[in-house]
This record gives sequence, structure tokens and C-alpha cells, in this order.
Amino acid sequence: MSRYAVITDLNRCVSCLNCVVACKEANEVPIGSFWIKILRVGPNPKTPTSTYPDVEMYYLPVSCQHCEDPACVHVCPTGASHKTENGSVQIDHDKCIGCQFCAMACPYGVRYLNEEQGVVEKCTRCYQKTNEGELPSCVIACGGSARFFGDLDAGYNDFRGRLDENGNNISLLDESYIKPFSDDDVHTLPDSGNGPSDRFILRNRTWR
Amino acid sequence: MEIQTPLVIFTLLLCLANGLMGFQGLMMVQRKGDNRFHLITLIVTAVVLVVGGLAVFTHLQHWERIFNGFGQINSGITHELILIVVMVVALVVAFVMAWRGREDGVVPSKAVGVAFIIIAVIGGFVTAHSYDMYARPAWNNLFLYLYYYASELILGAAGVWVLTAVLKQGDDVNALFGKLTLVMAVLYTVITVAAMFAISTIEPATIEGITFYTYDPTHPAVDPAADLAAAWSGASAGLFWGGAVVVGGIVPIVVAAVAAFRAKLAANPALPVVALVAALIGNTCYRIVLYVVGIASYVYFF
Repeated sequence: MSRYAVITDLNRCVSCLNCVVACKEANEVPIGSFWIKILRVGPNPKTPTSTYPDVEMYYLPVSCQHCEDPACVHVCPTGASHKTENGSVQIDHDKCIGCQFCAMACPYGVRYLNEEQGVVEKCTRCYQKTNEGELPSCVIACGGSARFFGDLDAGYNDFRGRLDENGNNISLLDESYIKPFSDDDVHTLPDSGNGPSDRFILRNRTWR
Repeated sequence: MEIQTPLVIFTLLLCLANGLMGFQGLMMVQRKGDNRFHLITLIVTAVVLVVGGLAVFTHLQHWERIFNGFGQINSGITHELILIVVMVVALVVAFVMAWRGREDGVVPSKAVGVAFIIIAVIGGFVTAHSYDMYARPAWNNLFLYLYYYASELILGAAGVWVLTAVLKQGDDVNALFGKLTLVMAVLYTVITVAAMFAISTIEPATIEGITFYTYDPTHPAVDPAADLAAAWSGASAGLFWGGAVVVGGIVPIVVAAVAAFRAKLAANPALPVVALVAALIGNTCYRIVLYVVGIASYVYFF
């Protein structure tokens, strides 16, 4: 079983919202609903004693974290929410009864009820694409070349981003695009034991 | 989070049904109440359960899909379904026993009474366990369990008191249930106040310094601490203090205290009816408040 994930280089994210728009287009996300949202974190003082203009900030794209031990899957009474072989969490619409307990159980609050269809939805990591070896729309469309998709078990070398000028996917380890990073620079959203799979690279700033 | 009205009604009636079973089981064990009382109480409990079940069906967007694999055993909803099936089986068994012996005035056996009490104890746990999610700090604590037990106890005591008074089960039985309602109302009041105070002091875990969502710069990030304290001292304080505490707790305490000090009044159905209606209103208010304070652990998607 693979552990596919999205890694976002937050030092490169400029909050262009291309990922949000591409996601909505690829997945027909209803108006008013989002599978990705971008948060502005900061500006915060660089140190506890810092004052303006000695501040820092970053943008944080948040979507379903496709957790290793997802609470949404545990509470689903029909098995509509389930883990797939590639490690992603998917919702089988034919089984979803719309009880919304998964939406209550998600610590990140990324699920919502599609009222037209009567089913709960959230980021699928473009399963229709990734299952065919393609990249998720948010990764392909990323204006800052900040997002990468790959298998955590295969290492960072497996992570690919949008196309470069030669039509090849940028590698997360291609230092002509991506500045070097250490393991200390790699973060996850807060973990309550669910094991969020997405990773966020943040250098020279405080992860908050 | 958004108030789920059908779930409010469902858990309210499930606690009422569980409470009725628990206290009826107590009467079976003590060999109190006549055959007519037990038959009618069983029917009332069944009706409450059916109405609760119908309420939860209105919550489901696609109830017809329950046939596509319902029963995932880790799910709290599955546990609730199993509980309801067990409750129905126990009610049917007791009803058959009481019905067959109606001419001889037979009361269901002590064993059935013990089974009713056990089901009521398990029922409170199952109801709370379904909502015990680490994603909701306000629900993910011992007070959720204590509250659902308190809810079950006050609704059950007041509910059985109504039936003993209406069906004229004797001054001693009515006085007993008046006192039981008084104790349960005090317990309910203490637990709801303690629970909401504990919830108001939870320190929400959130990213420091989120200022707004960039897709909508006019949409400021929510303040999770304010949401958690909304019922104790914020926008929902009226619903909590006025509805859940005063109407749901203090009114039944006063009514039951009057009955406790004036034993003859305990047999007047007006008192238990007031206590039960007040408890139903109060418990509805508390459940609504639970949704108000039930914010996600990490507040990203508002």
C-alpha cells in the first residue's frame, strides 16, 4: 500500500489561489464550497520580543489530509468513507447516507454536505487523475510551483510538481527550483493521533 | 457547528425511552406497579422510541442507502442501531409477559426488570459515545457521558412519575418518584453547569495568528475561544442559563420539592407533567447549546 501525499513548499506559496480554482473546475465543487482554502498565517512577531516591522508570515493551503488513521472512516456507518490502496480517503457516493457524522469527526473540518446531491464531499486528491498516474489539479496549476505529489514511502525523490519549460515535471529535489530543506523544515497539521499525510515545508520561519 | 435538529430530537427521545425503561425496570425489580401500569408504560416507551427513530431518519439525506452496507461496526451510529434493536426486543418480551398475565395482574419478572436497567445503563453510554469525537473538544470529555446519563435519569424519573400519577399507582409510589425526580433534577443541574463551565475553559488548539482566509479577505478567522465560552457567558448564555438550567433543572427541582414536602400533591398529575415538560425543554436547549460550542479541534474551514 502506498502513502501518496501532497507536499507544499510554503516559502514558495504566494496565495495566487490557482489551486483553489483548478480544484473547483476539475471536481465541480459547488459555489460557496471549497476543497482547498488558503489561510494567511501572520504577520506574527519573529521572536516573542519582536515589534513591527520585524514580523513574518506565510500562506497555508488546507484541504483533506488523507489521514493514516482517519476518524471520518471510523464513524461512517456504511463504509462510504474508506481508505484506498494508495492511502487516500475517498467517499463512495452510492453508500453515503448523508448522516454527516464524518463531517463532525474530522478535526480539520474540511468536509461539507453537498445539499444538491445529499452526500458529504471533500478533497479526493483528484482520484480520477492520480489513479491514472496523473497529478492532482492543484499541483499542476500551482502558480508558485509550490505543490508536489508523490509517495511518501518512495521518498522525496518521488514527488513531482507542475511542468517546467521543457514539459517535464519539476522534482521536489530539483534545487534549480526548490531550495534545499531539512527534516526540521517539514511539518504536518496538528495531529490528534489521526496521522495527517500532507506535508508542509517552511524554512527560516516559525511553524505555528 | 450547525444545529442538527433531527439529532437533537432523536437523542432527547432516546434518553427519555432509556430512562423510562430504567425506572420501569426498577419498579419490576421492586414488584411495584400494577399490570395496567406496566403495559401502558411499555407502549409509551415504544411510541417514544418510534418517534425518535423517525426523527433520525429525517436527518439522513439518503436513508434508502442504508441497505448498501450499513453496519460498519466501529461506527457509533451502528452501536445506536444495535441498542434500539435490543430495546425493542426487551420491550416486546416484557409486553408479551404482561399481556399474557393481564387477567391475573402479572407484572413482568425481576429478571426482565434487571435487563431493562442494564439496557438503560448501556444506552446512556452508547448515546454519548456516538458523539465522543476528538475533533470536537467540547464533546470529547467525561462530561458528555455524565450529561447523557443525567438527561436519561431526569427524563426517566419525571416520565415514570407522570405515568404513576395518571394511572394512580398509590401514594407511596408517587411519593417515591417525586423524590427520585428531585434527586435527578439536582444531579442534572449540577452536571450541566459543571459541564458547561469545563467547556468554557477549554483552550482551543489552533494556529497562532490566522488573520483571514485569502479567498475572502473580508471573512475574518473565527475566534474558537469565544465559541467555546458562548454558552457560559456569550451569545448563547440565555439559552443555556434560561433554558437548560432554569427551565430544565430548577423548575423540576421546585416542582419535585413541593411534592416531596407535601406527599399528597405527588399524586396530582399536574406536578409531574410540569416537571417532565420542563425537563424536555431544558434538555432540548442543552443539546442545541452542545452544537453551538461543538467547534472543530483545528479551526480552518469556516
